[in-house]
Amino acid sequence: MAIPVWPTDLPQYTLMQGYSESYPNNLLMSEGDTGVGKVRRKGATPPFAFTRSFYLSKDQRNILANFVQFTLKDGALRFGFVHPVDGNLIEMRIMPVSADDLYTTSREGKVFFVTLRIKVLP
Amino acid sequence: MKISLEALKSVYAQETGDYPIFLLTFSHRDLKADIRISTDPTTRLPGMTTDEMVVYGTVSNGQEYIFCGMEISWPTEDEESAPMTQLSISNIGRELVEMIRSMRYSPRLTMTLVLASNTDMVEGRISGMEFSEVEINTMLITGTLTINMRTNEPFPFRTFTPSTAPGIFKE
Repeated sequence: MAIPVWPTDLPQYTLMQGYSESYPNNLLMSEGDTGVGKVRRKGATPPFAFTRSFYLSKDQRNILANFVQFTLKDGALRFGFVHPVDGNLIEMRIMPVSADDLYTTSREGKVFFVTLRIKVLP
Repeated sequence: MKISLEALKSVYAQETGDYPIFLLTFSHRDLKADIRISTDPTTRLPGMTTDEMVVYGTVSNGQEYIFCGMEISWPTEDEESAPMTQLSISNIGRELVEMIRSMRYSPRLTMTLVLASNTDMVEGRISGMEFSEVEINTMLITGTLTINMRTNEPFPFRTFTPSTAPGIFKE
């Protein structure tokens, strides 16, 4: 079985609105009373993260839910998609937006607005 | 424990990109092959990564060590007691549960310390440790790593002396 890929029926674009990237903190730092603290890496570089927002129709909302629930096993599996800025095909994982929610959708008129929190696997 | 000059430089450096990695090897006569785990997801392990599963770990001297989230420190080095430390391994993957529950005796463990900058250079190694007092829950496998020093064993063992075997000394 190949790595799942982002469904073609879902938006391939990423909105500029809400897009952000974050570089993981991988440092151990000592804090002394005086002087400059010592710094070293904690471990291998952890995954980069970014948020990806897009609009969905009612049907696409169901496609996304099925993709996450059945194909990605509630988000436990990784999938392939093109990085919205670099354009490279990368492997990524959907990360929970909170302790209880993997992702949330909000209704805006006839469409649904979704933001996914994504981690890029090294 | 003596460590290399490069390791000493890393320890004392004001700023360094290097960091220590612990490599653990579980051995047991009930196991078909040793189980090797690492504290660091240094790289993808090409020999183990498939489409279904991505596996991270450390390659050291040709051996692949699977990354497991764990907490461990280098064992105590005290002249009056055996080296001992605590080990906590993430149980999210459940890989070790079956192994541990199927064993009748404690597995032997070799603990190796390497640096990320050169994972083939062994900075320290302790062999023959026993993983005991193991407790398993849904999140963690915890246990004690120690070396059975056998210092309390009698020596010489069961010698025939007049006090232990008077019969053979009768004339």
